Amino acid sequence: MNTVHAHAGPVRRVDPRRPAIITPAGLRRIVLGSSEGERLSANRLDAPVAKPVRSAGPFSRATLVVTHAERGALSDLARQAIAAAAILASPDTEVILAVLGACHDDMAALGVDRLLASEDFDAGHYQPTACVQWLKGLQAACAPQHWLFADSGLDGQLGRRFAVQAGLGLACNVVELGTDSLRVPAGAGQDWLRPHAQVMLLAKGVASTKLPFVGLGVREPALSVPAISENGIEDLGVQAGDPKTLALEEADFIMAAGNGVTDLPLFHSLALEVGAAVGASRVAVDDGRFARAQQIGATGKTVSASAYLALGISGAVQHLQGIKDCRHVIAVNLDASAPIARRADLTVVEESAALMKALLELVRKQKEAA
Amino acid sequence: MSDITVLVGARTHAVSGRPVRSRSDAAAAALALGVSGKARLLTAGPMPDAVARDYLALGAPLLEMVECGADAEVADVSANLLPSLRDVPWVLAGTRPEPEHGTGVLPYAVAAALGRPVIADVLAIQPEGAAWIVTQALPKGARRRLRVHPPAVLVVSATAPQAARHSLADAMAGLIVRKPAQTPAAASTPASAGQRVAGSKRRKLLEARTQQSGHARMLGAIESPSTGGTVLQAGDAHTKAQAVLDYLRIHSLVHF
Repeated sequence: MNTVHAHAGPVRRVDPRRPAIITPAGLRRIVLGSSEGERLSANRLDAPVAKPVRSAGPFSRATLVVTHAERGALSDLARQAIAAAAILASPDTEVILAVLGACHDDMAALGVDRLLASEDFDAGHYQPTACVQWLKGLQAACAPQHWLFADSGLDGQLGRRFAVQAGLGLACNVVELGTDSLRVPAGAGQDWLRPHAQVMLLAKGVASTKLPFVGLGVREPALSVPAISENGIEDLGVQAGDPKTLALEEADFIMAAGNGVTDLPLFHSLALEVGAAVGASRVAVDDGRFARAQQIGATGKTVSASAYLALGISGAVQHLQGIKDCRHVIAVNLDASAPIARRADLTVVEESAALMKALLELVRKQKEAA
Repeated sequence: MSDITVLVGARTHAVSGRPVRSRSDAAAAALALGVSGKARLLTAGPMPDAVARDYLALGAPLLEMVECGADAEVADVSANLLPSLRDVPWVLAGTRPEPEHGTGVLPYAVAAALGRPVIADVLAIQPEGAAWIVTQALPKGARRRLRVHPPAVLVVSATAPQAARHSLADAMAGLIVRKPAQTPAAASTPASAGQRVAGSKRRKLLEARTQQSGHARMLGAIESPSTGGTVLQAGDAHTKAQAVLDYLRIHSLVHF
């Protein structure tokens, strides 16, 4: 038996695609009873939203981030320093990135408003005095309020040199950066809480590089680094590291073998030919095919190579921990769904011996042609 | 008087909290003593005798101590050290690999005050007449050789090979000379000093303030952070090897 409902009028229905407006904050807002706005379709909601520009200017102040580019790319620490500058910048502050060397990264996505790249910088040449002089030129041109450097390697040295010679306030090893204060370890479990310094050298992990905005990303050619002779110092040249004798932590190109590699002479001859250091996964080391010092992973070494070629490695979590700092990971594996395929920038589904043989042939042919 | 002076300092042990010898300073001292057995060690600020003897055990005949406040600024320390460094052609110092061990600015401040060049990340020293052939560590295992004419300030790399010895006889026989500070320490703490607070192991990350829609947050919860790169399935071994080599070439990872 059917029950008959008595209604005063027609059935009131809620429109599931009610018109909504997008607020300036990027939120979708439904105003009940209003017919204003857009009816969003479901797939339109899924589409990635273009990030807004942090500030369109005009700028009256500037924060300068200085770094060295390596092979056209910035290091993770430099990206963190840029993100820190962009997060702390007020709407009238411009984030300027000064790079020694050519840089091909997407500047707007990093949060940079203006890039000043000295593209003809030769990293093989010893010229710290010239670099400091270059920064003094930038200081005169941009008059930045704050200077940010990554506190590692060449960037950290350049920051110290520049701050001391320019007589600016310096804060090294900044481990925590806030809107108006910073923390520097003082030893014995204590920290110094200080106001911002003019030059700040940021330690690893100070800022998150996930930004909800983009920068303007204007590219401008910078003044080239002046040619200043070093007083009392002669440069006798740079010698590249020998991958065979190098510690794995220092190596730039590593070829690593896992359980899938059985032809060891072929593997070693390929490593010799391309000039790669040799690493191995734990299985291959336990098997006795490689020395313990060559093991990469949680119980072995943590490497930070620019290129990591993993042959026959499935990529256990412990192994992926060891290669988390590697920039380019190429995996050769028979199983396309192995965990390393998710970490790798390029995954080749192939038997490792066949690929090594083909690669060795190719490399030898190209070397003969060159 | 010796041609070489090594700047050394005590550091606080991470676990016991006691002052101990700094590893990198000891590496610098060992490198200097390998060049000349008469290298002088110099420190600023209070250093317990046990630590001083530990440094002398490396084989140095003399450790000079300039009295200085424990929390003195780099500029103060540098000013106090300058009179003892003016006539010394070679000044060596260690790096500060751990942030807790110091800022590592002192060698640069001393060099700027003396008007001398600084060579960082020094691995090895080889005397050649009056000059030194200095090997410098560069990233990715590269090495640079420099011919350095005195005077200069050298900062020894933390990864320099250590041939340090420990001799009880030297530790006992070595001389510790204390000198009063030449410039009086600034009475009031400078503005940059800030305040000392208890540190925490978990550092607060500087993050941009985001205002996400609920939908975006839900998507973030189910999305995997890494989606992986390109997967190459088709083709024979040669085309795949070519693809690998092309990738290496595009990102200029190989040079041949």
